Amino acid sequence: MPADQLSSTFHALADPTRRAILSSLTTGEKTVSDLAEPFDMSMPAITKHLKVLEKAKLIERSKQAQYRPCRLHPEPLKDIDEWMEQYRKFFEASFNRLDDYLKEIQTKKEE
Amino acid sequence: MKTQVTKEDKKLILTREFDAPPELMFKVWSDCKHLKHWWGPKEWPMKECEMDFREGGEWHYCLRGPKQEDVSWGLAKYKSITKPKKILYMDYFSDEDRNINQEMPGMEILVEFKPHNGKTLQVNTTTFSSNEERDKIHDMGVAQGMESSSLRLDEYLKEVQ
Repeated sequence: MPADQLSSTFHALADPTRRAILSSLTTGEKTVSDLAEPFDMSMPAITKHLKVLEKAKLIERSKQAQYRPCRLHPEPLKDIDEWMEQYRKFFEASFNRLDDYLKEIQTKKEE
Repeated sequence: MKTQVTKEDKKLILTREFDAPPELMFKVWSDCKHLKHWWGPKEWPMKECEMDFREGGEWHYCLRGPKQEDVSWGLAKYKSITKPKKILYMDYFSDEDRNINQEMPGMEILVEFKPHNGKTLQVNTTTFSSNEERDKIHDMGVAQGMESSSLRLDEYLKEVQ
């Protein structure tokens, strides 16, 4: 499983600013400056967060309009199945490591 | 042996056999010293870990990804512990000061260790609570009349697999 994909939604949601941006977009399309307003942050800092959200496909940005307003694209969070899938991958990746780790510590003990 | 996956309603059940006795399985789940070696994907290892392993105690941990800004804090609260059979805890998204993120759903995680031919069958049951914020985000998206998502969802699924 490619780590990038595993973690893109996870990573996008891990940050409080990005979660606040998503919440704020639930009320409709917004421009970058609208989104930046409640935060004490520069436009480039906000843009950086937007890029992470865009990459995780949680938001979309209009290509035509001059100000490229953002809107929510909630499909990756759509149903609990998707959410579960992220967890399944997380656990499975951990369990593969656990398997190796158990081998390692039990071999040491026997030596 | 690979993990066997069962999904039902709001539960995700992962069953896997490990070549270790239940006592050792219990140990590697209940101490940072061990968890540091395996908790989290290889690319997102656990870099910080504080654990008060008792009923009502907490496990506060931090996973770090490949980029500097890839930081994810988790907070677990132990509800019930039966050595060496099972551990039941709530898992939340958090921050470095242990504040639980209210916008994200909490998960109840039950880990059971069952003796099985000299090895252990580990049964991990994660129960997802519904989450108002997430549902709200979803409902608003639909209300805005977004175009059919099936194509994008297909792409997304291809990508994450």
